[in-house]
Amino acid sequence: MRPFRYHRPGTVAEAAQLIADLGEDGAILAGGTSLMTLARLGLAEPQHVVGLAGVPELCGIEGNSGDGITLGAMATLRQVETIPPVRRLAPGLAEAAHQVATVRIRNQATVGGTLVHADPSQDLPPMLMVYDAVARLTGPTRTREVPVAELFVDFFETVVDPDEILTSVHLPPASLGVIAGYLKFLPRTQDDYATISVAAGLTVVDGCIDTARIAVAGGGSTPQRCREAESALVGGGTDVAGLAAAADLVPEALDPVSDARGSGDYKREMARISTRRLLQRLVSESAT
Amino acid sequence: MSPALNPGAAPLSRRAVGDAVDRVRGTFTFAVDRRIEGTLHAVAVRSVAPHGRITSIDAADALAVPGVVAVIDGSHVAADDGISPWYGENRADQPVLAIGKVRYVGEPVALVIADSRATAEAAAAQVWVDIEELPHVVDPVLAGAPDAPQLHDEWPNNDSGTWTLVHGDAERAMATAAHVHTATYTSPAQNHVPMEPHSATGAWLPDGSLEVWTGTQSPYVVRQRLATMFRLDPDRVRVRGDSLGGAFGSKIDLRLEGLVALASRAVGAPVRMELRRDEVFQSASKHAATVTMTTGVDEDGLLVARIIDIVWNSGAYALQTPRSSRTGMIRSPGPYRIPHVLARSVARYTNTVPTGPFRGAMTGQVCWAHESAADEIAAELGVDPVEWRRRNLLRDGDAFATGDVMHEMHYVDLLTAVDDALTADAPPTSSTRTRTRRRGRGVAAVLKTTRTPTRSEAQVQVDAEGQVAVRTSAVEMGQGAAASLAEMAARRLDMPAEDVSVSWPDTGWTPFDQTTSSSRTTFATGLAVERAASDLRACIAQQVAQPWGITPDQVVHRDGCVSSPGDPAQRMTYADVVRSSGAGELVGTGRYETPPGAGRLDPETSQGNVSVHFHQGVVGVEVEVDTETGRVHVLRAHGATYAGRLIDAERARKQIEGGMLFGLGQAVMEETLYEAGQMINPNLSDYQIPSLLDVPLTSSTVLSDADPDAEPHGIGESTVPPMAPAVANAVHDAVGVRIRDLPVTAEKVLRALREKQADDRKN
Repeated sequence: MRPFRYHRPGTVAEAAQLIADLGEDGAILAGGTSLMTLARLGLAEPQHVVGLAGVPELCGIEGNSGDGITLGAMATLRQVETIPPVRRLAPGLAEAAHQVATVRIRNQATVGGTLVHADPSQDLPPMLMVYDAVARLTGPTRTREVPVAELFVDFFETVVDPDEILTSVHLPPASLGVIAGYLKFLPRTQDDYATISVAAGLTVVDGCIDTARIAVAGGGSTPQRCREAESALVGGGTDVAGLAAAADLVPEALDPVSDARGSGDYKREMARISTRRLLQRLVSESAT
Repeated sequence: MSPALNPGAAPLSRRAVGDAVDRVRGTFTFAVDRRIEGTLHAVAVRSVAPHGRITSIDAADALAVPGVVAVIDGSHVAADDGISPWYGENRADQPVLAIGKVRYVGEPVALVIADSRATAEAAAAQVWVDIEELPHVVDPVLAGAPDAPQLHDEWPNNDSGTWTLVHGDAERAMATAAHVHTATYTSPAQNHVPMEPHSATGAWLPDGSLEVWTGTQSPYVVRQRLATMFRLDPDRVRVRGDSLGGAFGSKIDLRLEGLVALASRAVGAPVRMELRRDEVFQSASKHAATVTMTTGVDEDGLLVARIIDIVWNSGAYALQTPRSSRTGMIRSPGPYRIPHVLARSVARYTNTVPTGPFRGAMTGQVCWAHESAADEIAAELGVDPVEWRRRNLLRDGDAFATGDVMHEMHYVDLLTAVDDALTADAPPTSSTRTRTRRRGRGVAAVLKTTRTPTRSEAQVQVDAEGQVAVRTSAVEMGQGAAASLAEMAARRLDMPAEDVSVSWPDTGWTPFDQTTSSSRTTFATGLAVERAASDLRACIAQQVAQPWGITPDQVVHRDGCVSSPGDPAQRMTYADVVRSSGAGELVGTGRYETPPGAGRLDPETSQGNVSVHFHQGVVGVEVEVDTETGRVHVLRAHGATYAGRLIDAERARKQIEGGMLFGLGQAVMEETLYEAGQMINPNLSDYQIPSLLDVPLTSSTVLSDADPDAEPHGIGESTVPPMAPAVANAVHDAVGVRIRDLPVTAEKVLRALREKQADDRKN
């Protein structure tokens, strides 16, 4: 690994100034679980690293049913997994966080890092899409909000500008009523990246599906919403045939790469199976 | 610089029993932790082409990087009269740095030596190597074709070892068989994945001798290779070892030692190397193999003949393959009574990572074949697979395929123990067989020969402080060898094992040991240690017997003291004995060597006495298969082995159960993948090994011989090879599909299930 100079700003403004000054020579370090791995592999060779560990305003998780949930960019995945407001109000998100690698990694990896890194197999992004989450970005001249569903552009590429910092992610209160769940398909080890994973959220009113969200990770160059499958569900019943028919629409929305975790065709098929199983689970949970 | 490399004259040693505490706390010192002041650091520039001629190497930019001391390549090596750059156990086909030609992606082409590893790493990226690419071949079957790219001019047809085994007349007997089964089984290249990467430090001393600190399993082999490479008397090479953080065969023979010696020679200072994980993947591999097995049985299902054809992928260089491919062939008939066997084995060079021994060496590939075949044959005969094995497994007095008349055979008992363990619980009820989850059970057995001939030497000594030290060149690599050797010495000396220290290997001080491999240490080194301890015990008794007016055999040894049986006043500690002897220390020596002629086989038929004893293992697993995804969960695994005289039951169990976990990865997930001649998954994200979360419920049976004079048997590998076929057999039991190509991935199982469903619909 090439040595670099380490900077430790104390505020978002300081951090933003630093990355503006450093330009392409600088990289932002959140938990380091991805950046340091890339650096050790020689795939990232920053001369300057701007560590965000000393920026208090990026830390913490707050939430209630009236205001929704705000996750600081530096909140760890372990916090997302364990903190009561998330477990109570957005249990699907806690479930997805629980599925990330190991406790050791979750203690280190952050919400902001997992989004900006934009690895299409990460666990949190599809679930944040299900909760209609919105990312807040701060740049030198403006602050803007981008829905997580519109954040990703390609493999390891987002709409976040080089001089912007993702400061927080907000789950709006209206999204918290869904029954959400996460199914990570792991045919190899239990701490692997997903071969394919599905996040889904439903609201069921009088036996009828009122709203539906389905998002898949590992199915292409970015995590993605499966809007056709969602539309097929809305207004329909909760019978197995209807859920299966919606799940059958998921593979068409995907374009997964063939790799050590499976062929593209296999991943598509596993997305279909996983979606159907997850929807069946959510429907049975909605009945209790 | 000799003082820097030479912190103590005597070999370092430590208390071996109870070292788990340091391992858990992270304070245990491994080879990779060894830091010697004043060393420079070398990083290899590696080939990015699978096969080609080196047309130029331009190191000017790298040499301009501040901190870079030197860059050397194969042309420097070839021009140096003091160096014989080619090495290998059976044929010197591998250059320490590529000379003229590269033969695999990852082959070291040049070394950058700098004042830090980071500088060397950065500069290595600025060594410009031009390679004129040649056609490459990665498949060993294709490598045998007449028009295949040739890797070595001196070794035509990419042949890196051709052998046959002829026992009886298999072709004629096959024609008389009531039932014949034939199938082909393949297993891929896999990586050992020791958690600790390879490391070594080398230095030339002012007197012209060479000293190397290294994480090796075979200090004396390394010494011999270095002596040959640098044209030195072996006594002028000192190889010093450390404890290893896992090895599994990847740290046998020359690895980094030649490179650090070369680098140190070039710059006149000690040089250290440590591999990155991708370099570990590029340094050693398991042999991929294709095994075609044809088996004939009579009306009762008894084996009458077996014909086996094996093609091994030896990678770009032979290393041990010319010898070890024969060893694998000899084990390929399996632990069965077969009157007629014909086996043909060929190993071929390909443009892939060079291969070497891999825990359960050259046995996993053939066990995969004979144990999958066992279940297939039993199914075709309509016989329970456990029962079929029981009828055919070797028993005392049976002849093995080499003609060896078998002794200490315990297969039937081991199989029964495994079968009992698997059936102890009530069979899975319908409630556990949900619509998409099916359970099944499978067993598999293995026979492994031990390294024959072999030799180990040991010293056990006590000093004037009463400190007892075992000196051997055995390597502690997590298997508990040091603790077992301490216990074996302590028992002979009637003293607590906690008070016995064990040396690190150091060819300057510790006596010869062949290698720490082949599950031979507790057996061969252990017997040498016991003999050395008995020799020391006799020496101590000799010292006191005459003054006490008794004979040496009347002397009582207890708790590190000697006494006279009739006279309580006559009692001395071992320290007192040493002090009164005036000798400073008393030393016992011991040696184990296989009997003359053992291991000698007919060159054409491979008949003879192949092994002094046989490692026997049986594994049983229960799996759950998801019929919609193909995902195989191994729910539990029971391993059984025969240990001969048992030294420590707890360590034996850990070897058996750890072996099954090691085998689990090979069974269901491990495979190095190549694309365009390049390994594409040389990292622990894409190449996965089982994590703690994947560990099934494990249990074990250790059969042993209570006779205090019985030989200990190695047990470190006996449950590794059977794991994969046991899993495949269990998958077949669960869902009726047969996978013959390792690993048994979810995708393969699902594809087979879908094909079976389509076939079932047709019929």
